[in-house]
Amino acid sequence: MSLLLEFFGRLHPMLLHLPIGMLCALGIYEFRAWRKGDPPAPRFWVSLAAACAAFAAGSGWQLHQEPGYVEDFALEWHERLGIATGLSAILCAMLYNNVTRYRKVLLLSVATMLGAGHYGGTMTHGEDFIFEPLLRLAANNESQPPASVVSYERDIAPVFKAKCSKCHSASKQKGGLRLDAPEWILKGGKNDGAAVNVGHPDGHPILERILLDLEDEDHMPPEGKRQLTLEETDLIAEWLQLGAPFGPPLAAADAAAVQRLRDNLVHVQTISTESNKLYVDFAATATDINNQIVTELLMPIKDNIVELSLARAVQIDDGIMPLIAQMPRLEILSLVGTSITAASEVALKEIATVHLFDTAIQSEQPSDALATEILAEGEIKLTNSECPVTGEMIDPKYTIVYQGEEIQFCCPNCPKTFWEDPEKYLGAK
Amino acid sequence: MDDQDLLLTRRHFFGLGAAGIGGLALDSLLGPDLLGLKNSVPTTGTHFRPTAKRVIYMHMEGAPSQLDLFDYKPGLQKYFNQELPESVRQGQRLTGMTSGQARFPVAPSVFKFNKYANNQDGVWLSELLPHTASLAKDMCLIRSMHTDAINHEPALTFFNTGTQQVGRASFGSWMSYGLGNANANLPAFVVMISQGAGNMQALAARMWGSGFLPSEHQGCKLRAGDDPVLYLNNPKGVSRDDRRKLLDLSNALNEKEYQRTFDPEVRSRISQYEMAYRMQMSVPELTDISDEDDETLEMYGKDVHTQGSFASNCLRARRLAERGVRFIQLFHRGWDQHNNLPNEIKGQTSAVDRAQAALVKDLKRRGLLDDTIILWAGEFGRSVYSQGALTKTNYGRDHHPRCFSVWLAGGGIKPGIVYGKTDDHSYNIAENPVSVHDLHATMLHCLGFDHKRLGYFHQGREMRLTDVFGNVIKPILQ
Repeated sequence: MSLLLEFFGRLHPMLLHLPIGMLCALGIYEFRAWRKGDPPAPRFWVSLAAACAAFAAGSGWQLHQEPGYVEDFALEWHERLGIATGLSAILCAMLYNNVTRYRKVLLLSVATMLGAGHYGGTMTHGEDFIFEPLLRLAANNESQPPASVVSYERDIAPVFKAKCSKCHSASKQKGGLRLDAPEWILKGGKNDGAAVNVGHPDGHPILERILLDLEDEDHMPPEGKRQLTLEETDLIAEWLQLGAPFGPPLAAADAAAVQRLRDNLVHVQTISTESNKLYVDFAATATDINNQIVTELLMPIKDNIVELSLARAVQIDDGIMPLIAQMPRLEILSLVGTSITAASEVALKEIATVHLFDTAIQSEQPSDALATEILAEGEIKLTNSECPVTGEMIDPKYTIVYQGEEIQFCCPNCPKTFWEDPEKYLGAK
Repeated sequence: MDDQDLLLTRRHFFGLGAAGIGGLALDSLLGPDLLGLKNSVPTTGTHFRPTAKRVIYMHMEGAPSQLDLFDYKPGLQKYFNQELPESVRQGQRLTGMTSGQARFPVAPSVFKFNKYANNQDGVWLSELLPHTASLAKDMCLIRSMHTDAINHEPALTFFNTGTQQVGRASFGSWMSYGLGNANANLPAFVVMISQGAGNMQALAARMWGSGFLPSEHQGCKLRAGDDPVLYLNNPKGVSRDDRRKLLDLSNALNEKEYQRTFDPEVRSRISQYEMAYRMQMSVPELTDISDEDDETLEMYGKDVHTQGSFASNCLRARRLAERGVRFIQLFHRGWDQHNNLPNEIKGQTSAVDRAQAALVKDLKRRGLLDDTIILWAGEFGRSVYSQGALTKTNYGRDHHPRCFSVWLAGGGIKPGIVYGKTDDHSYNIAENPVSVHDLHATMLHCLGFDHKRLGYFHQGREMRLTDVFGNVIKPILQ
């Protein structure tokens, strides 16, 4: 029975279109008839419209019994108005004999039906589904293609503002957390610390909470509050996957400049398929390059470089520093084996990680190979491996203690023999 | 990238090759014969920012004994020569080498263990590995590895390709496919083999094969001696210019064939010829260690001067790593100690201990350990019961897939930790099991890949290194 009811509920998306069409048609027909003084529409059509409206409302109510619906404003009013439509349509059919009353209730029924339809559409397609292209036209944005890289400013901040700011902004800080500016997001709240794990694709507390089940008490936004749409969740996940960058998205490096590097056997690679940051390695031509070549090749893409290896390039010296200074995103730099000198040491402090082995700045000796601290030493109890009497394989069942040491034998008879002259048997061993 | 894109890349490449890269004065500085020899192999790119750019995988072929090297079981001494309890073995399938044995006597290790300071509360390691022990604060020791296979061939195949069946792509070829090459003059995947002192097992070239991936991704074996890559040098009487002309002609013919058939193997052939041409220059430079200082050579030990030794291969591995090679695999053979283990294993450890520790330290001081994953592993473990006669000083150990130890270092792996535990007999895993698929998935994660998304369509399905298995072991990540 419950399965049949479930089936009935699933008919809702199909049934609902019938009363919409019929009630609209009846409304237009009766309006025209009222103006002209004609008789009302045939009873058959009125009854059919009422029946359809009742079925649509009933199936909708049944569908709502299934789990998985987010209780929000649109659903609540869709349901209320839908049931009102069903009831008023039945009332229409009952009042058919009194034309004036019938027409007044029909007007009410059409009005509630339009309201129910509107909120139903909002539930399935989202707000502003119909007018969104016109809004874009008004904002004169139509020609801009959707940006490929998520931006905090453009994509994420508006979502936080719409869905999170009631509890996490200047006015209120539940859990001590604010999500209305980058510095607050990084500062984080009392429970999770920083809300995002900057620079990492995963380990973001905020996403973990968003992805929890709605029923989980740690889920955000809490049950009963307006939830994130799937699109919004995807957008946030995409942004976090990039490592939660707050700045404007970095433009891709000039393709011609990248190609030129590759033509010169320089390895250039984005650090991931979703990033425009570059890793550049001169490994193939290290011994041939000099300051001028590197500067000329890298200048057009200097903004994109986060990792650069000039290792083993003996012709590279302090003359490379003007270029290095112009790389705002450089995080990891290898100058191993170059001719860089102490003159550049201060400037290099600006970069998070610099490798300088085998240069004038640092010529680190390898630590003594065995210098690791030994905390404890294991013991090996060296008992005998063969029976001291017969030389046979020992069996631990036949163990005695002689002068504090365990001695094992092959059979129960040997210990007796042993005790007769221990020194003789130990000496033999 | 679909086939259309590949095709475009190809045409673009040849357009450049024929016309030169007009107006670029820089090219002449790099040598005219390097023109047009671009790194043309398309790659998938990483899914997220990697913590590692390359892998050095030291495979101890034959399977070293975890009980004598890494898995300290002092409690076993009181069980010496006692029968392995059925409650521990639980009817496990054994190899044909010991399944007929009347007894399964417990053989505790004869070697002394010391506890070394790491970043937790210390790690017990065998006296056989004094130099490796000095890496205690850099290494992540996993004591809870397990595998599905009990014999060398399938276990090696599993470790190297993610499945016991032959014919899949090896780990290194996946890296070459996914990451491409950071040095256009060397292959992305290089393999070196050293012979051991103990019982050796066969080692097939398909362990570094490319399976269904385009064949330019297969590992390139670097041999000992003056001719590290066979047939690389020009025959007598053929100059480098002659070779260039020959290649230009054969490439043009091959390109015609490619335009006719769109067979990707033709492209592989072209790029392999070009790679070989470039390697005529780059390999001699690579293998010439005269520019290494004495102090570095001293670190690796005196074997470093013997070509083909593990120490020599370790030094080469560092030189390959700093030249941008993605996957460097060192096989050291001879770990299959079915009998006479206490004596044979000493020959094995003395060959690898000093050199492998030196390799890690050498990488570390050059800043390369940050983005290089070191993996040291055998294909399975060895049994706690003795194969053959047991005495206080001698025993053998059979294959044991249910638990064994491997260690990793660098490349985003948490340093100075021990992960996983085995039971009192080092027979079953007591805590945090790590499968071969898990290890692969974790390493791929460090290399910037979601292992579920690094795939290649073949025989009607998406093939993956981890097949349909594998979980990233987050607790061992930094």
